[in-house]
Amino acid sequence: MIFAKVIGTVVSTSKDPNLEGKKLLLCKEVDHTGKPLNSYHVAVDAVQAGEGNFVLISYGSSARMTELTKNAPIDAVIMAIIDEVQITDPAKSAKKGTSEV
Amino acid sequence: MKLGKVIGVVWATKKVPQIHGCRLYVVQPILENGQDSGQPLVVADPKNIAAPGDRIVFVTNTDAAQAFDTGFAPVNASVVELVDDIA
Amino acid sequence: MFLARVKKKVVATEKHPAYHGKRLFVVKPVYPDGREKGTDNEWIAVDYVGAGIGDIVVCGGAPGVAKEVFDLELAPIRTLIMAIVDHVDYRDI
Repeated sequence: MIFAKVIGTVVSTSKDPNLEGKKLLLCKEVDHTGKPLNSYHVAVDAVQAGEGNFVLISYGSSARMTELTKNAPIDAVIMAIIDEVQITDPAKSAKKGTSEV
Repeated sequence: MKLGKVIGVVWATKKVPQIHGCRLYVVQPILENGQDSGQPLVVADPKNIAAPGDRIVFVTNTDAAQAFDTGFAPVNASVVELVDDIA
Repeated sequence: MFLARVKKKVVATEKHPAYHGKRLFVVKPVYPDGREKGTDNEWIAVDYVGAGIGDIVVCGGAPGVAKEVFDLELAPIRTLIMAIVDHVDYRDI
């Protein structure tokens, strides 16, 4: 799974029939501190996410393991909306502080 | 399978039903000597095996879903063992 | 999945049976604003939604996807064009 922020919607009329009725969201990958990385993903929304949400994306064949995406030709699904990422390791949270400077 | 250390917890109220009740951790992959190896990733813990600070074994890719009783969950990595010691 | 622009068509006569009757395109990944990502970044993708050269499309694929889409026993196919993009509404961060 990767962390991402929802930044928009992809609108498409000609698509695979199994994608009908599914929301395609444009997401920008972020690290566990929420810092944007230069990587964009189009993912199917399985949890009613919206623009601005901090989410978890599952990718690859695992992305088809939800009721919504079972038979769909997809390789990325938003499977959780994150409330908070709590870094419990003191060494890592210290590292986070320095990387933000 | 790889070794990792649980360095954080991901709190998410809204999740797909397949992973309800399953904790999500931030895990730093490590080598047997404890050294970091690559970037932290998110790992699911379907059997509630781990806690923050623990050294664990996790599986990735398609096999990650096999850690769930249903064999059906949209996850890319799952905790499968809590490491007591590496001798 | 990723956004890409359809650049060229791949023409071939000798094909693996799984590729019979399928259109192949050269696609280049793009940023949401349409800029291409790097010069040496391109993929070959199987189209089954009727894409054409110049279209912005949604591409992707994972083990097993092509097998299901085309209902084949064996499908040595990875990247698919699964949707043609009308437009992208977004606000970058």
